[in-house]
Amino acid sequence: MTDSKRIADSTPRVTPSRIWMCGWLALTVIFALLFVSQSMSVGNPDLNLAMNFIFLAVFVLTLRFWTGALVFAFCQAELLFGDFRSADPAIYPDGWILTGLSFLLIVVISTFRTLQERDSAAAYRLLRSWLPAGNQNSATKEEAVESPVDQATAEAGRLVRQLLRAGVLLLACGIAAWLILDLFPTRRTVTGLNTISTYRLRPAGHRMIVVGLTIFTVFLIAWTLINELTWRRITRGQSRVYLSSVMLKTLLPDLRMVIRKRVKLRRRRRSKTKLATPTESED
Amino acid sequence: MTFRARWLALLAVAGGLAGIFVQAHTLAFASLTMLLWLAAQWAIFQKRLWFEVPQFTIRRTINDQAEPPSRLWAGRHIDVSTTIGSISRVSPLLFFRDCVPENLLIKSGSANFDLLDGSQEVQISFRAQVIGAGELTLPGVRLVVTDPFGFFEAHRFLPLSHTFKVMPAYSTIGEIRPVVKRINSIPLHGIHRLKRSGPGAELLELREYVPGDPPKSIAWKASARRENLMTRQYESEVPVRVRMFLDGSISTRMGGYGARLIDQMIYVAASIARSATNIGDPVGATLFDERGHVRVATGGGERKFYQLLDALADFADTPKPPRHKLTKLMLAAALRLAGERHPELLDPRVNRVPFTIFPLSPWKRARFFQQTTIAHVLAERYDLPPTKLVELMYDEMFLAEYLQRFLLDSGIAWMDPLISPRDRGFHDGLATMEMLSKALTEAVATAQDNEVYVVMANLLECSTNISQLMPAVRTALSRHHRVVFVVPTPNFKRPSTKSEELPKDAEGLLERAEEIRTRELQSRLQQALHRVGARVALSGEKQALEMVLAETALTRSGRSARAGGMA
Repeated sequence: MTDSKRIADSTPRVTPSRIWMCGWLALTVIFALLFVSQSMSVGNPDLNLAMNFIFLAVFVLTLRFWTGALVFAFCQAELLFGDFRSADPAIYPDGWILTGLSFLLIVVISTFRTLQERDSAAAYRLLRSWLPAGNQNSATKEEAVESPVDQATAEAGRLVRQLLRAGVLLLACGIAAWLILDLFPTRRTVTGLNTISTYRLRPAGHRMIVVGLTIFTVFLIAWTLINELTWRRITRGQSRVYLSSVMLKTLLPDLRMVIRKRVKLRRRRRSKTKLATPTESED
Repeated sequence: MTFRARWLALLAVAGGLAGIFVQAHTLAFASLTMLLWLAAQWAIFQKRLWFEVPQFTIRRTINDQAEPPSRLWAGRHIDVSTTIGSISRVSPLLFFRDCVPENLLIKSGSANFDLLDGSQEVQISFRAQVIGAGELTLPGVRLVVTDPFGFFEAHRFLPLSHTFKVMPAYSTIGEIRPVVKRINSIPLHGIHRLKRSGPGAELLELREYVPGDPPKSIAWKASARRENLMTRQYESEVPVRVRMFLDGSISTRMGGYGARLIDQMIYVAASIARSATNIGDPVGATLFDERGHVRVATGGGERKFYQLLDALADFADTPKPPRHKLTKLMLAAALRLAGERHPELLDPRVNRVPFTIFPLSPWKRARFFQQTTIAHVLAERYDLPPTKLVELMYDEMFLAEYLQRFLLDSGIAWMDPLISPRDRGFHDGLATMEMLSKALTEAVATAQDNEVYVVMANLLECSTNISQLMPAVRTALSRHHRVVFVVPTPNFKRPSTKSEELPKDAEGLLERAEEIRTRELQSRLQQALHRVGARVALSGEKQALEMVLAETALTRSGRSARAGGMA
């Protein structure tokens, strides 16, 4: 092993998973402290222990499981009841904030869990790196020159950029969703038809079918296109396996019959040979 | 699509439809946004699979050599460095794993590399020890592509196959010299005394003069003393040929690389060959197993030594195992291996299982599904026609045969699930005895003077059938050849004769029980072989090597038993 590699091996490295682990643990501790302080302050009218507990549970559970679906389901439930509570469904400011926060949380949870699953010993290594004789896994030659602080700053910068990119994409998706929903108005149809008299459907029901069908059509077109392109990129081996499996669909009954007979014959011959061998030896 | 994306998509579709239907606008908006976001992530992921993955190029260096060597040595360390590069910058997250065969033990570094941030080149470096002689193949790199949120995942295999022949390890033991002087003149390198009359330099005996004897050989002083013409008879000078017999039967090949009995025997054989070559003795070998026997002609010199090592390496390579019935473990192992080496062939869009009504029970259907899937992979790998493919699906013995072949080709040792060690009566030893007897008799028939036969066979397991071997051993001894048996032990150690305290843990007790059993078998074997004049050494430890070398030295000295000490 060369000297530079040996130096690189002994240099502590700040990996993204460790930064995430560190941040997540800190957040969990902060929320745990807030929860404890709130539960201690008896008689506080704004106290919402149940909500705080759920929030804390999400943070604690994420240390072991992916809780994105849970967060999204809670968000959906809150939005459903919030929309009902709101006088004007179009103006539900808390809903927009909640949606944004939930999406951000899902992004963070998913990124955290993906990195954490790859480097499950991140927390342990993190603690070791704080100890004086801490020794971490390998790093490249360039990184060996950087100090841990520089690495952490660089990693943090990368993470912020990654989050920003995800945020921009989410914003674009939000705008697209808003445009799609705006294309199909709530109270009337695009063509101005009375859906109750024409289709015997409530406007909401008609809208659901139209939006659903539109999205499904778009998805079908995209899916067909991507599948077609994927199909054209398959390897020679894959195409041979596909052809043989498709061919088997039609030929299987005949081939199966022939092969089963052959297997039976072979077994019978084998058992006959087994029976015949001791007799021959006796002779 | 992973379960995360499935859950979110399901919730988004349900929430979106419910939101539109009950006119909960924010809910509909949030759900639709989620759906679109997932679709966008999918499109980005597909783009990576199409454009980034095919651009990968791999190169591998062994011991910092750009061109990997064709031969490696068992027991030595190698530095493996695999570089995966791309023309463009690769986006995260990518997880690489250099597939390491069973015959390689990683000592430092790692065969895995997680690319968590963008980079243009990835290097996987590790230092590993080659465990056993035979063949070693580094097949390539397994790649897992995933998006930053873990919603989509794809597995690929980047092939880069390098196959090496692994030469056996050996040790060099210092030459054993007798402490008493027995010779007056030093013969040429590789030439030794033989107690038969010949043109040597050492006096064998004096006998009465017979007309025709050369006058130069008349012992005038002795003739004067005895008043009768006496002639000096000289000893013969011949090389001592060492012929090794190596047992490669099923029982010696069971176990992981480096822990097989054959590894132990090959190590002893290579060490004996090294010592004999150093002294100048010609050395040869007869390698026998169920397939027959291979004879490596006796010869001396470095070139012959390396030829012998080559033959030993070929012999150590695991051959086709005996047929075994299909087991769940075997099927699971093959599926795992196929998932690692041929992930693209297991894609359900390509590898389709035809619909059948039977079998009805769900677990049997699951097994049929697995068998059909792996049958397609095997048919593709071994280029089988459709009839054979259907035979693989419906004939379990046939499938087991191909699964064994597939596992063996991928470098799996003769262990579970490739083969079950405790059935089929592998250890009866009768077949081994017959093979060994035949090889020994053939060797005696074609032998010259002064040969040392070193028999390395799993005799402990066959000690009950040792009588089968006795005629061949007696024949060899009656022709004035020396016969030495080196018997490998399961734990590579000689059984201790000291009475120690009983261990307290179960593992220790089992070890002790095995030791007692080995000791009993050893004493039975030694009694039987000592009776006819053959010598026995256990395991591949230094003592066994020294004993073989001492026997060779004894043969060289022309004596029948030891006199004086060995230094």
